[in-house]
Amino acid sequence: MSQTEDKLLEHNYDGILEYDNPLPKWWVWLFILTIIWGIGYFFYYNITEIGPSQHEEYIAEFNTGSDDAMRLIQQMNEKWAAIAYVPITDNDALEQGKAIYAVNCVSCHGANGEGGIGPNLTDNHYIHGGGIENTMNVIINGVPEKGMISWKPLLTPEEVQLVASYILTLKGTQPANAKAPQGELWEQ
Amino acid sequence: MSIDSSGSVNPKDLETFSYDNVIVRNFAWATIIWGIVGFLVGLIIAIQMFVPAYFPFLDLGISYISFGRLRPLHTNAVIFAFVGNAIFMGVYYSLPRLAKAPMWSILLSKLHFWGWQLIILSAAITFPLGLTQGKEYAELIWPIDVAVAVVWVIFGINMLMTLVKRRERHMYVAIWFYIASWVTVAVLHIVNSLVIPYSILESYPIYTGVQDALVQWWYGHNAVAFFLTTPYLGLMYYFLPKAANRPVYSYRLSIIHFWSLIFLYIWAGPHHLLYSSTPDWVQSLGTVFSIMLIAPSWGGMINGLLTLRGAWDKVREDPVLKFMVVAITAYGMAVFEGPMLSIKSFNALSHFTDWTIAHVHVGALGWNGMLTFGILYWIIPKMWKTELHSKKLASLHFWIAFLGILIYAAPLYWAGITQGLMWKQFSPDGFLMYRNFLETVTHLVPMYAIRALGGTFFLTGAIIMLYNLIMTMKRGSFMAEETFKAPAMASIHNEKVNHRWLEGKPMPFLIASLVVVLVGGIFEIVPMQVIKSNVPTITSVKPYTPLELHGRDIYIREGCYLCHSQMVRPFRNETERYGEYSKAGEFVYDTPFQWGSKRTGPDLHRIGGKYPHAWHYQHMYDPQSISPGSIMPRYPWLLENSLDTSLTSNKIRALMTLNFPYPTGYDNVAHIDVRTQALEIVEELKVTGIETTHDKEIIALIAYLQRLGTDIKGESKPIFNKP
Repeated sequence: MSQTEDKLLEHNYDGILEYDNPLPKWWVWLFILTIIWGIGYFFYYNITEIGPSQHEEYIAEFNTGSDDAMRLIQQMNEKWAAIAYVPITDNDALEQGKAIYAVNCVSCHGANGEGGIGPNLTDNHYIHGGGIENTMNVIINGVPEKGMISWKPLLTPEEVQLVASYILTLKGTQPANAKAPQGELWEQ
Repeated sequence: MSIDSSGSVNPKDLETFSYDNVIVRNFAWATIIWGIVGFLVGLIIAIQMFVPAYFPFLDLGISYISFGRLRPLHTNAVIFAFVGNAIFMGVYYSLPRLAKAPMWSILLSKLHFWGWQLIILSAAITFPLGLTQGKEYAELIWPIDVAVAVVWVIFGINMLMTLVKRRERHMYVAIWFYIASWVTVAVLHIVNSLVIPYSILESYPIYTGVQDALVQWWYGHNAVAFFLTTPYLGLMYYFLPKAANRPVYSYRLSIIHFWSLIFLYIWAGPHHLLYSSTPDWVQSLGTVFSIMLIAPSWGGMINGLLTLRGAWDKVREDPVLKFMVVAITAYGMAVFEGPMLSIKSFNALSHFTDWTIAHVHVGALGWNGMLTFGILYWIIPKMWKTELHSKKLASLHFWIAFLGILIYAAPLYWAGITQGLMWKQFSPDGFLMYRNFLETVTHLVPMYAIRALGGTFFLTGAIIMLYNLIMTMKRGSFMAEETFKAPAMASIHNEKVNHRWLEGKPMPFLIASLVVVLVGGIFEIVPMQVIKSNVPTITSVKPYTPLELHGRDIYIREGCYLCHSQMVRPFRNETERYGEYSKAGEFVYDTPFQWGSKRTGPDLHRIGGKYPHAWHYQHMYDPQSISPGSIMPRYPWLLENSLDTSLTSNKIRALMTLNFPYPTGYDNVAHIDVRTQALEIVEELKVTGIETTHDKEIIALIAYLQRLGTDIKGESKPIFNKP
C-alpha cells in the first residue's frame, strides 16, 4: 500500500477525489474467514444440531464444571435430611445468627423482631407454632400464601439453625413499636 | 468545479445556482443545543444512580424527574435530537454541493426543520409525564410516531428530488449512505410502530411477547445501524476528505463495504436477545451476522484512516481532524466490541450489566459525539467565512471530551465485569456467593459516581464548544447563500450497466438498497410471525386481568423495564436466584414485551407471589426501608394517585382485536373485576396494618407484580366476569 500505487480516478465531487486502490488483502481475508466461520457456526448449532441447544447447555451446567453442581446439590440434600432441630445457645453462634437475621429478616420482621410486614417475633403468640422445630420449618419451607418465602435456596441448614436459635432469644424482649400479637398463644 | 467527461465546458453553458446555508445553520444550532440538553439529562440520570446511596435526602420522590421517565428523554434526545439534527445539518450542507444543485424545496427544508424540532419538544414534554410506549428508543407515543413518519417522508422527498434535479452525473459514496439510511429508517420506524391505539395518546403494539421482542430489537439494533452509523459514515465520507484535503483511499472499498454493511447489518438484531426465550436459530443468526459485520464495518474505518495518509502532520495541528480521528477510532473499537458481545459466551457475562452501557457510550460519545464536534468546528467557520475563534479552546474541548469518554467508560467496564462475575459465582457448598442481588449493586455505586464525573467532563467540553462557536460567528459574517456555477448534467448514451451506472440512478439505487435491507428482515421476522412452533404454547398462560393490565401500564409508564429485566436466562445461577427460566409461551399476552436490557435491579419475571403485598407497598414507598443500601428511587406518588380506570374497556377492546381470549363482551364488565380484585388486595394489606383504598395506583401495580411469571405454575387462574 505504498504511495506510488495510488492512482486517482476521474471522480471529483465538490473537490473530493478518489483513489482506485484495491481492497486491502487482510481485510478481504478477514471478511472471507468471518463468513466461513458464520456458515460453520450455523451448521454446527442449528442445521446439524451437533452443538448443544441452550436448553442442553443449561442441563449440562449441572453435570459438569469445576464445582460439579449435581454432587453439591446431592450433598446439600443430605445435609437438609440430617438437619438438627436443636436450639444453639453458644454466644458466638448466636452472634452469627444475629448477623444472618440482620441481612435477611430485618426488612419484614423489624430490627429487633418487633414485626412489620411480617409478624412480631418477640411475643408469646405464634401463627405456625413456636419452638425451634416450627421456627426452623417456617424458615425452610416458607408460608408462600402469607408472603414468607422459603429460605431453603438462600440459607444453609446450619444458617437456618443459627438464625432460628437467635430468633428464639428475642422472645419476651419487648422492643419499641411492637406489632400486636398474631396467632395462637404458644406454651411449651 | 469539475470538468465533465465530454471535455471542456463553454462558459455560456454554465448554470448559476445557490446553496441555502440558513437551513444548515438552523440544524447546526439545533444540534448544539439539543446535544447539550441530551448530555445534561444523561448527567442527571447518572447522578440519580448514586443519589439514593450517598444523598438519600436528594431523592425527592417527584414523578416527573424520576429515573425511569428521564432515561428515555436522555436516549431519545441524544439519538434523535443531537445525532438526528447533526445528520440533517451534514446532509443539507453536503448533498447540494455533491449534487451541484440547491435543495429541491426551501419550504420542505423548513417543514423538515420545524417539524423535527416540534417532535423533539413534544418528546421532552411527554416523557416526563410518563407517556411512553415502553420499547427502548421507540418510546415516543403513537401520535408523535405519526409525525416522525411524516417529517421523515418530507426529508426523503426533498433529498430525492434534489438528486433528480442534480447536475453531477454520479452520486458520491456519502449519498449512497444517505439514501440507504433514509429508506431503512423509514421501514424500521413504520414496522416497529404499528399499534392499536386505545386513546388519543396511548396504544398497544400489534405484536406480543417473542414477536414483539424480535421486531423491537430488529428496530433497536438498526436504529444504531441506520441512524447512528450509516448516516455518519456518509458524513465522514464528505467532511473528512474535505477537512484533510486528501483523496478518499479506495473507491472499490467504498462499494464493497457499503453494500455488505447494509445487507449484513439488518440481520444482527437478535444479538440483543441471546439466551432469551427467542428460538435458538434466531439467536444464532444474530451471532453469525454480527461476526460477519466486522469486516464491512471496518471498511469504513479503513477508508477513513487511510484517507489521512500523508496528512498526519495536519492531524496534530488541526482540532477538526483530531476529533475525526478519535471518532473513527472509537467507531472501529465499538464495531469490533459489538460482534464480540454477540458471541454467546461473552454475552452470558456482559448482558444486563453496565458493560453494555459502556459499549454504547464509546459509540455515542466517541463516534457520534466527536465526529459531530469535528464537523461543527469545520462547518461554522466555512459558513461564516472566517477562521475558528480559538484553536486552543477547540483543543481543550478535544482533550476534555476524550478524557471524559475514558472516565465514563472505564468504570462502567469494570462495573459490568465485576457484577457479571458476581452474579455467576457459587460458593464451595453450591450456594450463590452473592445470594442477595443488592450485594452485587452496592459494590458498583462508586463506579457510578466516577462515571458521572466523565459525563461532566464531556458536557463541559460541549459548553466550551458553544462559546467558541458563538465567538467564531461573531467575528465572521454569515453567508445565507453561496452561489455556484456548473453545467447541466450531460446525458450519456450506451453507458455500461455496472455500479458506476447505478451511481447515476437515484431511484434504482434507492430500490436496490431497500431490497438489500429487506432480505434480512423478511428471513427473520416473517417466520416468527407465521410458524407456530417457534413459540410453544403453554395452556395455563392466560391474559392479564384488567387490574393487572392497569398495573402493567403503570410499570411501563414509570420505565421499570429500564432497570429490571423480565427474562430469566437458562443458567444455573439465574434459576437458582430467580426460579425457572423464562419460556417463550409465557409472554404471548405481553404487549409491549418487557424483557428489558439492563439489570440495575434484579430480574422480575418470577417476582409474582415471592413477597407479600405489604412488602411491595412499603418497598415502592421507600425501597431503602426494606432493602438498606438499595439505589432504587422512591415512588411515593403511586400510593397517592388514583388509578385512572376510564380507559379500562378501551384497553380490553384493543387487546380483543389482537385475539386475546377475553370472553365476548368482557370490555363492558371489566371494570367490575378491577374493583373486586383491588378490594381483595386492600383486605390483605389491612391484615398487615396498611390502610389504603382500592382506587390507588399502587394496588394495580401490586396486582401486576404478583401475577408476573406465575401462570406457568398453573396455580393462578384468573376468572373473568361473564357479561
